[in-house]
Amino acid sequence: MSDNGTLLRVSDLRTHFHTEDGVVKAVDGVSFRIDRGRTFALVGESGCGKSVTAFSIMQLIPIPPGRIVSGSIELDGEELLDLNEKQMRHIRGSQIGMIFQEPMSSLNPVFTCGSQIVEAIRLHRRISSRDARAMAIDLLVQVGIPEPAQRFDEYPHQLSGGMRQRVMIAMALSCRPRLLIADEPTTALDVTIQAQILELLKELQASTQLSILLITHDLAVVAGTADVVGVMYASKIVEQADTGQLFAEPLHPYTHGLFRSIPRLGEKKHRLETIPGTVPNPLNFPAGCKFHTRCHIGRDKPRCRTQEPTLREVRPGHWCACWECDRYETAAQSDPSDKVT
Amino acid sequence: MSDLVETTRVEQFEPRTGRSLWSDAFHRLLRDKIAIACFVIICIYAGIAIAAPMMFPDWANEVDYDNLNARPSWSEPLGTDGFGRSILQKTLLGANVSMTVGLTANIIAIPLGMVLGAIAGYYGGWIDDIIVWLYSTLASIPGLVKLLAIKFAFIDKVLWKGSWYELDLDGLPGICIALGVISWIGTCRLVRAETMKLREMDYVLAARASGRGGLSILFRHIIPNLLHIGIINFSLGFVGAISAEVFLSFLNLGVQDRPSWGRMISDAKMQLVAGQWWEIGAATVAIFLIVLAWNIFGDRLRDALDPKLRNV
Amino acid sequence: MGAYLLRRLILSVFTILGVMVLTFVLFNLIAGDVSSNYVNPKLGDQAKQDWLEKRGLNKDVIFNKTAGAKFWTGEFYDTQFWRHMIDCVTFQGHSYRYPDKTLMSIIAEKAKYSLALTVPMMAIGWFAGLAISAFVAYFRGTIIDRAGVFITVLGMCVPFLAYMILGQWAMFQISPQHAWGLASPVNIYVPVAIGVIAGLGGSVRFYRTVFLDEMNRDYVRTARAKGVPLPGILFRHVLRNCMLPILTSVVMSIPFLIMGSLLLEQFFGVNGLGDLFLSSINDRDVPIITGLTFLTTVIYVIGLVITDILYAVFDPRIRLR
Repeated sequence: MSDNGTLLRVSDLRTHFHTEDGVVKAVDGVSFRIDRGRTFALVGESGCGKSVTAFSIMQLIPIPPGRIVSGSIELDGEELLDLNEKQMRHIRGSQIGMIFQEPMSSLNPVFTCGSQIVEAIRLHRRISSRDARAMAIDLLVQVGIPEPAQRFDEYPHQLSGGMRQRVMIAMALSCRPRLLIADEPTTALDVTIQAQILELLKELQASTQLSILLITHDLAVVAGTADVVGVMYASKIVEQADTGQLFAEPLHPYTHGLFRSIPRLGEKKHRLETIPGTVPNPLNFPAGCKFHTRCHIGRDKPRCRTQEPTLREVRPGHWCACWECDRYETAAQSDPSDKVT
Repeated sequence: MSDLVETTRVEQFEPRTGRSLWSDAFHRLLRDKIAIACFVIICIYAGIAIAAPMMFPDWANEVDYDNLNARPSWSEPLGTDGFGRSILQKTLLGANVSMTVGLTANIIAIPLGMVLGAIAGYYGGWIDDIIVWLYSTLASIPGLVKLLAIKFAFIDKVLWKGSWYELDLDGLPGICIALGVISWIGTCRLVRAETMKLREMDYVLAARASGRGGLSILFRHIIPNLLHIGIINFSLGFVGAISAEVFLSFLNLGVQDRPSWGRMISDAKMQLVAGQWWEIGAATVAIFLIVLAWNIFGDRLRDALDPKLRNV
Repeated sequence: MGAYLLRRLILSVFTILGVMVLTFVLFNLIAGDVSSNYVNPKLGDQAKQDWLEKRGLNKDVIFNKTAGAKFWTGEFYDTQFWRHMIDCVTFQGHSYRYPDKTLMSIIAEKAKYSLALTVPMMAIGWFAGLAISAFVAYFRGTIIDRAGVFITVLGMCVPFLAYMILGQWAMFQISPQHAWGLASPVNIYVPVAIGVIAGLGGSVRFYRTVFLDEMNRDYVRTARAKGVPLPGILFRHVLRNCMLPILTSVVMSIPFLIMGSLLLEQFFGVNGLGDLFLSSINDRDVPIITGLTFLTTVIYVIGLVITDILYAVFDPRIRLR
């Protein structure tokens, strides 16, 4: 597993936004790494900071009000945060590609799909426009667009949502980047199209040794595609493990809550469970563990209310930021009231 | 018990969710020092507009032939005009016309635009066609030409002469009516478009399903939800009305019987060459300050109430 | 596209008809009798009646009652209203002040002065406004942007009259013979310059908002993620999308190309249509006012149709509707 080597290493990343209401710590000490040819998924509710993490890696945070306060982002040993805007521009598109949630608005409406792919190619490679066109059509074939030569001259609004997302993928992969950041790539699409797009990403990954940072709130997407999963809650990663391990044995009460809120086939339940409450306001995080206000274990525990837990390796390769996760399983199965320490 | 504890805690961390649009906008404006400064300037102008005619009721007759076109001095801080009258008083009195026109024109235009726009958007069909035709016809005459055309039609017109509700279309009421009649179009367009969206909203559908009549839905559910558009357009329209009044007065098509800034500039336009800058300067600064205050305040108000209207 | 254009044209015809009726109501019904400006009331009622008779102003208002109900005859339509409609379309109405001249000949004579003033004024103003706002938007969020916005807001709030009078005064200090009139053709550049400067604040602010709005779109984010440099984003991606609001604002100002700048023409002694319009108001010269109002409206409506066609050219989403 680790023989692939690390491609991207993010350590202690902190991205803050200075708004008129105060400082929003959108990302507050996030660390993870992505190995070559692997998929790392960041999962969490909306507003937990997962997209900001992705934009921080690309350095596409609007400055001001955003600012990467501290941390390090290394791509293949190169520190991205030390690069200037011009150097970073050469990384974007050629080393790191990115696709977005809204294929509707993410393509420029007044240019043809083909010309937008050609633009991406010619920004990073010195080739003639005819060669670039041939390459672009080739890419359209690769991402599974029928009649690519005809689609090349069509405008984004003439394509369906799924086709547009395929064009976005073709554009993002046009310069053979080593890392693809997919920010909720399937959220705006129909379920069947979702599956097709994810399948396409897997195929492309297999053929090109691409690493993928997948940002999603959808655990079903994670199960099918990711190798490693990081669960984000309130600007931090609270649990991280291999996908199989995490799905088999979630340790953090938040992750557990997420799993219990998915409907499963063959299971008879009258009502889906939900996690009570909402994501806390990033301007005003609770003291102690940020999840304790919604946690059925830690709600009344003094340590959870005052001290913030850090990520620690609870099982080999399985990290969790929770004071109670060692005892969690027994706690979840028995009545919480007699577990008070 | 534990449920109770939980809900209170959750709310504690979300101070902003409970606020309405209006109080949220109000709080944002309160924290905006520039917006407050502009609002204070507007209030001062309004105060002057009310107080000045009471303080200097006899200004027009205080002619002083020994003191024509006098430079600013301690006794006359802004100098005197061609009849030896105080320019300071003249400038203060000018606020009255300006603020009256701004206020009245918008009081005519905004409700007109909102009601017509809401009716057009809500009922659709031929009612919509007629209202759209009406405003596109009016809108197709360029602004200043339209204003001058209406003012021309109003020359020497006095309605219901001699009665207590006499309406002098050649004077101040005429300007207000002319401006009101031409400036409702923008509001109407916006409100119509928004109403068409609101009409399909669940709560309006629910009101309709429960058998409420059209007019009652319009006035209870739709117009209250579009009031912010009216308020934004009111503040933005004020500037237009003030400028238009200056323009008309400069052309001697404005108010004749009392001082206004446009007339001051018109009276003094040839004096600048003779080095007499005070009358024109006083009027210009007076216009500049109020227009600046309204422009900035209007922008801030719009950003606080509805940022997506920025480009309209 | 064809059906859309046809619908658009039919709507325009209705709008223009509306304006024709509106001008009739305003100038002939509300404004009413203007004969006292041309015939001395002391000459008695007969002189006034003659004057009215000569200009067809004593006819019936809408339908000729003396012709009975014979609406199929031309005589039935020999009324003030239908004359007004015909004069509007043909521009053959006769001025009261210059009875031997038709509107068409007066417009033909004066339009060139207006165009000499407005064409350079709008071209320069448009170009300068776009260039400055693109510059300011390029430096968005920096001190240059904030200073630019500050200056434009201040510039917007200075009354136009102040620009005009101060400009003329300054020119008078430098070279008095160029400060008024058209004795020497280069004099036209004084009002041109004043018009450009006075309009700059508003246009920079408008275009800047348009640019910045467009720069917050998702496709700009995509372009940045591809590694497109900022100039490429601004001048390739954003500008192309901004063409629509920019075009609209340009078309909206076209009527004033012909009409000229009302105040500048009057104040600088440029003998164009704007000056004519203002003096006709003082003279109560109804046919001229009607004609000029109608002319600007027609140009405006045609401009709107052209904008719609241009929209289709610049925005592929509309082209294929």
